[in-house]
Amino acid sequence: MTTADLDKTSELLVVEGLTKAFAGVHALTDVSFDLRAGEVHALLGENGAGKSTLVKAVSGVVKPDHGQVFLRGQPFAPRDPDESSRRGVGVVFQELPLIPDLSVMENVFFNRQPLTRLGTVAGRRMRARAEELFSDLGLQGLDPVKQVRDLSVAARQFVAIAKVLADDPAVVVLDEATSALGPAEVTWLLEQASTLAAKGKGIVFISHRLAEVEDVSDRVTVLRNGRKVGTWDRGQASADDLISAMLGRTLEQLYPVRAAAPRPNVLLGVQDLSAGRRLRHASLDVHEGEILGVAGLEGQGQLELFLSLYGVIRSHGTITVAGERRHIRSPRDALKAGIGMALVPEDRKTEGILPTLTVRENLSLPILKKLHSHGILGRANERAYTQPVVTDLKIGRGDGEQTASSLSGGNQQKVIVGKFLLTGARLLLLYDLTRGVDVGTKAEIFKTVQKLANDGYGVLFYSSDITELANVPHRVVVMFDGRVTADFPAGAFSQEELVAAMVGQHPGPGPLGESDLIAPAMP
Amino acid sequence: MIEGADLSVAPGAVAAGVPPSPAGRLAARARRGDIRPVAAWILMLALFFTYASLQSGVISNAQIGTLCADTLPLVTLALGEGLVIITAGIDLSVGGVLSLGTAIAAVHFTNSSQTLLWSIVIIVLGVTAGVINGALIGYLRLQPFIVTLATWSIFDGLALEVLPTQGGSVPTGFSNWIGASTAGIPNAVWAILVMAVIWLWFKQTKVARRIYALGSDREGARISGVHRPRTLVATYAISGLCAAVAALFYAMLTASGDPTAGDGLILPAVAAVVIGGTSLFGGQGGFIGTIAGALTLTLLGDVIFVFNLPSYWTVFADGFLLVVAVLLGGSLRSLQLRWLRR
Repeated sequence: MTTADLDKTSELLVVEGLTKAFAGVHALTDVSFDLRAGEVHALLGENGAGKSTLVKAVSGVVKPDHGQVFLRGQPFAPRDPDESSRRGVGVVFQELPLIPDLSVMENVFFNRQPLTRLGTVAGRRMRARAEELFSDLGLQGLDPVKQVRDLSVAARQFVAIAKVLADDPAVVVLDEATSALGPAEVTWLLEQASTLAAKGKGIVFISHRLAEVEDVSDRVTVLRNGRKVGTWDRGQASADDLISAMLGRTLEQLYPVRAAAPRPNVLLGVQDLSAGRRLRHASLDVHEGEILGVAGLEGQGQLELFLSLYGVIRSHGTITVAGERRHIRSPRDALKAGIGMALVPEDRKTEGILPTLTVRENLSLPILKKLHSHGILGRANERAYTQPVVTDLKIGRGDGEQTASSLSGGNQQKVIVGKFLLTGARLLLLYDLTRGVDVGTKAEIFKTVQKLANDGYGVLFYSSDITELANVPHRVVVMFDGRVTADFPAGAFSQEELVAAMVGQHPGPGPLGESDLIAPAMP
Repeated sequence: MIEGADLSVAPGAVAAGVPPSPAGRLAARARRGDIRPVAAWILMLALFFTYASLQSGVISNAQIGTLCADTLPLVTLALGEGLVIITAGIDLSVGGVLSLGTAIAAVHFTNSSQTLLWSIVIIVLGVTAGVINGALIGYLRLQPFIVTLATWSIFDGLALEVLPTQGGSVPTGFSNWIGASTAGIPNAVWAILVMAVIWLWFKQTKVARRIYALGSDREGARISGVHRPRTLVATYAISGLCAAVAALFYAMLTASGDPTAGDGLILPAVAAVVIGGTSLFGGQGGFIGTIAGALTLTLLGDVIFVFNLPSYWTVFADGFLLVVAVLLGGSLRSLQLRWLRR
């Protein structure tokens, strides 16, 4: 054994010179990484930097082209994530690959179901085990027999976490596990991570939220374009340093200057809007040129609010657009009323983007009626309509002729927004547009949003990220239990107050000390 | 329509609920259960009593035995087909396997020892056919539709080689079994009951869980350690086995051979599965509903016969019912789910 080999045994997990290419494109180039027992090691990088590929290469989802992985000094090359988890490296994948038609406990114990003597699954024993596991994890609200299909994304996230922890692995990888969670749930997860680390396990923590990373991690490794930029100990690098490392350049401002003050006339009026069980008599106004932030814990009616305004679900109450009462029963009605919606559906798999078509074709789809003459689409005509939007929103390469699938996540979001601008929408509903999006793209999206507000568009902006809510909108309303329960002007509230309002305490801001204010620029 | 799916877990905050009583558990289970197989049984029973009111003597041991005997090849075929459909696939080759099986039976079943020997051959052939389908679909990643369309044709060709035209015969001792009774209950009823019991056991095994998982979410199943090719080979092998057994039942029922017998049974087999509430998208459904689906199709033919309509009406009705079942199946389930969320 050489000295280098001895070194490996002192580490829990060692990755050496991992390289992986897909169809000739390098997703990972010679990446090395190590994880000590008892530490939380954060992995940072923009979308496409190679974080997920690294995780997949370690856990057997993809086979690395070069390089080796060692677990406790032994070569580690599992065939699939199931074997990886059994042998000690459990991954909570970003895509939450659960089995929708099976129950929560069937998912948690998949391939490990306790069996009866007849070879059948012992349901009662499995249920008891699941209940024990959930209570150990503080997840008593999770019903073991409920079908995963019927769960919210946050609840699925819990199932995926429980599934991995059920194997009691030495290494736990959390790939974007907080992106679907609200603040209280994030706190829970970060606590779990720290507890597990204290027990001597190694945690790999992947998140786009720098605040979380700084909270929880002992070391941070940054990847960029499939290569490792470096590893820093806690406190060694500032948030700015990390962002520069991720981007390869300095980002002057994540949150651009807010758009000018909104105009006095109300663009959207919502009164006593109710839908389903979740939305109950919610009221709010959005002015011209205003970005109205919506805050709320998962399931407080905000999704129903957005879906009602876009006519996806049926609602009762009064909706006025530019002073005129509108009955919105379908997305068509909404479009006619000038309401456009960019929704990041909860699972991010269907984004209203047609990946094989070009940007131009994607953009012109809702306005084909306007474009064709004598049944033929004039390409010049089509370009005349779509090109200003491509240029205005700076979509991708800027010529509109690349396929949507070749665009980055942020650029795809812009295509969704652009589509609605072309339909003549004056009001945009943006639902968690930045979830799981890297900082560089976020900055682009915020710039676009501020520009639209300056141009007089009204924007309803829901985000699960509190720092964003503090820095992007002109005003933030809080939804709790299906109602709007608090209304905060920008800059006049602390993060604590916002969270308190989100969990249903203390509506309305009180007097503030300067130090309580959330910094308007960087997180 | 996007439903705001439920479950707000406040970590650490919510105490475990009071454990429900057994009756409460049963009620909860009934509410969670899929309504589609129940609907299939209601449809079947409604048709059965309609038939009984049109024709005297239907509600008798002998008549029910005949009904089940007539349904036996179809329901056996549909058992395997259903499993394939649960993986979100389709097996058209079962028609070819059935044709080949009955052709072999008609030619080679000359006495009881030959019957036993060649029955085994038929079953081995059926399983082999399934393994080939499963390997092509699982390992070579070909489309189930194309693979089984091709192998259907191949087995039909082999059947014509074995028995060029309708004809041949099987020993009466063999063919009589399907119409006989054991312990006062018709053998065909026993056969369906036995299949149902096997199914109820099988459904609770790990293999079955993998099959459901594969159909429910392929990626999720993979991450959870389901070996897709192996699971598909097992699934299609079971389907081939069922088709071979169905061939034996078919030979008993007709007491002769028909090298194209299976062609007319593919659509009814798929229809029985779908009417029985199994989703074509995979991951949902099961054999209990399929039994009702298969019986419904047989009864439909009987009712058409009672009305003295030409027999091609049955073919028309089968197809019609399949479309209606596909149409209703999805909406019935979403209506149920919407009602439950209320």
